[in-house]
Amino acid sequence: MGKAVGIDLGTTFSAVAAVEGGKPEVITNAEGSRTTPSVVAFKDSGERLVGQVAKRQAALNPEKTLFSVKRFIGRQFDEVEAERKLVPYNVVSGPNKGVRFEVGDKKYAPEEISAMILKKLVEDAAKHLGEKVTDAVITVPAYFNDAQRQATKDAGKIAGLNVLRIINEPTAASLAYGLDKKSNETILVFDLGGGTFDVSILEVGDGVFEVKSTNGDTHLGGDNFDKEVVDWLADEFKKDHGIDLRQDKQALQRLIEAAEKAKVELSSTTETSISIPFITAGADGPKHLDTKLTRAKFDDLTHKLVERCRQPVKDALADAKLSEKEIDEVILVGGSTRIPAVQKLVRELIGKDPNQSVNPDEVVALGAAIQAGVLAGEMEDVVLLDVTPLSLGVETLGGVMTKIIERNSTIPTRHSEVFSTAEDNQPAVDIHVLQGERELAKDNRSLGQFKLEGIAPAPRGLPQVEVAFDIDANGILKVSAKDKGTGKEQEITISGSTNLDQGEIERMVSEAQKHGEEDKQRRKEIEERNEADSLAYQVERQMADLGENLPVHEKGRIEQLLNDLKEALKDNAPIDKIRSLKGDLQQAAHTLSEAAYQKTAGDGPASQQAEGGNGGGEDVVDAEYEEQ
Amino acid sequence: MDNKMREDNNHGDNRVNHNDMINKIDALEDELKKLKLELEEEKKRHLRTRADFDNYRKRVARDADLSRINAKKEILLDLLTYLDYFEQAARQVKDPAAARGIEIMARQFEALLEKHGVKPVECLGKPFDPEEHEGIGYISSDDCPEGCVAEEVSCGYKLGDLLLRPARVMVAKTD
Repeated sequence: MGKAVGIDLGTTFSAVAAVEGGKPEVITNAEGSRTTPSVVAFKDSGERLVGQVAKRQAALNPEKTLFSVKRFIGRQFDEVEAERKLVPYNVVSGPNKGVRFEVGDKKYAPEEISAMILKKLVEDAAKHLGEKVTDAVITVPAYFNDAQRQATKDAGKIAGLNVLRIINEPTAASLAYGLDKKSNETILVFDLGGGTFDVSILEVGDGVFEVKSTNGDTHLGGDNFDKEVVDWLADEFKKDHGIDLRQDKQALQRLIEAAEKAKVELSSTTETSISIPFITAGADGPKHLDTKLTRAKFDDLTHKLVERCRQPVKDALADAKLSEKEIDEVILVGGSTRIPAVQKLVRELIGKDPNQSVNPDEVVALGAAIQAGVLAGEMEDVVLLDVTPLSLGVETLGGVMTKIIERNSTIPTRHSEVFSTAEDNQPAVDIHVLQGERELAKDNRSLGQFKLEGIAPAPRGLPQVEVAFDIDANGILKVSAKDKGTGKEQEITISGSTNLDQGEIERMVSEAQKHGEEDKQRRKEIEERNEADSLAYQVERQMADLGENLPVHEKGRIEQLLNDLKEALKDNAPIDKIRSLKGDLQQAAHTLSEAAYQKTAGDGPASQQAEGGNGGGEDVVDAEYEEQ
Repeated sequence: MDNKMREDNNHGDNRVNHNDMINKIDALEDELKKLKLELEEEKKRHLRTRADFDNYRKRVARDADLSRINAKKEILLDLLTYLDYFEQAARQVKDPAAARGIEIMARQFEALLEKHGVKPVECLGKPFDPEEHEGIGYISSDDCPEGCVAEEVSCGYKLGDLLLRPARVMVAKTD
């Protein structure tokens, strides 16, 4: 079996998504766009064009360019009188009073045209996925009747697809938000697309969605908003210059583009400038359009449109016999729901913050992909995979938390790192297992502690202790420490490292964010102290080896600096003081290195770093990562 | 030793013991069959996940290329607006010196874009092709064959093979 995809077969645009690696993703088409215009055109030669290419020649070929086909699918000829008048192509009656599109001497059923769109979407998807696409879940509006659903399914069949299921668009949107896992909730889906407005009220329980009511406006969408802005711009321009830009095709085109851009910008800013220099030329020379549009003015211009959304919501609630208080979740679908005034209306009507974290243009296709993934058995593996909600690590020198497994790592997983000792002849290391996002050990949650003893006497930094964190699929954490020198090993098993309640996790993560800067500062300070300590240790050893080769006054100076630094570290002196003492010692140590070269020519100072005192260790040797 | 003693003790129940054994073997065989099936299932699932991951990795690499191109496309599209302004200005400004200056700016700007791989879409006199042209309407033309581009309303551009934006054109029609 090939891949299963989810398809949002829209009135103006369509989108396709697929689950990969457990996550639904929208697939870009051959032209590199995430949506494809639902347009099919026929050239005189009979050649067929689908998508953006078809749209580009629509103005030249209006009788043979079919769009908004979704308004006709599965309907009887006598039901679509109003729609028929709105399209420039020929709609005629077919067998069984069905609808046919007359293109030249050929007649096409809406199913056939939809099939051509589906075929293009699926072929592009297959190319992108590098895999054959055989199965699909296709979405339809909740108000579609059986005939419309069957016709959509037939379109899928004609396109050569195995239609796994036809699902409602609002259901798909709810799936994308994971609302199928809720029990007994009422969801209102507010879908303001390019050309249609749909309100649906659903009830979910045990993973089953039931449509309680639907309402809407079949001719209201984003294009209406653009048009209001275009008209305003053109009217203002006419007032100032006496020229109607709508009469000039090129100027109009630029106005439409500028209006759409302004609309989009006003979703995130409160004022935008619309400038089109040299938009046209009058008798007295070039004319420029240069104006500002505030969100307030935009809201004013589009007030009527936004208000048209009000009654359908109220009617949908009334039909479902629900008050707005009984709505548990609100979902926004369609690009036009990004308009602040629309969101404000929704809040006002329902009194709730809507779900809008998923891209409203893609949410339906994503939900359909999830459904397809479930039906094709592609989601099974995924459900089992869990993540560690918080980072796991050990305490190292100076009370620092060193992370071994980062938060949100998928389990089962194993990571290890090699640490060393902080003191000469240190006989044991303490492994303090921590959970959390803070930089310092004490601010994190302690999960357990154990000691690895019997480390053979050695200078600090030499022993290699491998600390491994292993979380199994059940979230049980095993931490082991192994002395690579002696092979001695100790371990601890901690259960329940993953089953924290969500509130606790959120608190720990947000606290880490809140203290992020100061924590980083403190950690940096500790690391600087560790480095200074390490330097002092190195210099001390070198002095023991090579001190004799130095002139007496040099030797005395280094010893003085060394003592000062050690004292300062012991007294926990301010970091500035340590920093300057460290700098001085580093300088002085160069003399020592030169002496070393003179003596042994090549036996340079070993580069070592300080290590975990009572804490465990820090990576000195190879910080090595292992993956399973 | 243990087994032998038990056998001795159970001497009288030999038949029962035999049936027990058969039942047990059956049960074990069933269990084995089930486990084999499960193993097969798991193997398949594992392979599928591996394949998914492999495809995903390839796609991520491709997507990285794509997003780089798309980022470039976005900036170039914005810049092209300014080229339009220049061209529009050159056409409308009446003062010859000023018009000339603007024309030079436009040309330099175009040269700069070309350095980054942007090329204008050729359209005048060519047959209308929706892959690269967007038709605004028809005009009658004496010197252009029907169905060919008679007027360029705004220039289209390509980045290599990728269409940045189509040329907006008027197509010839004999009345």
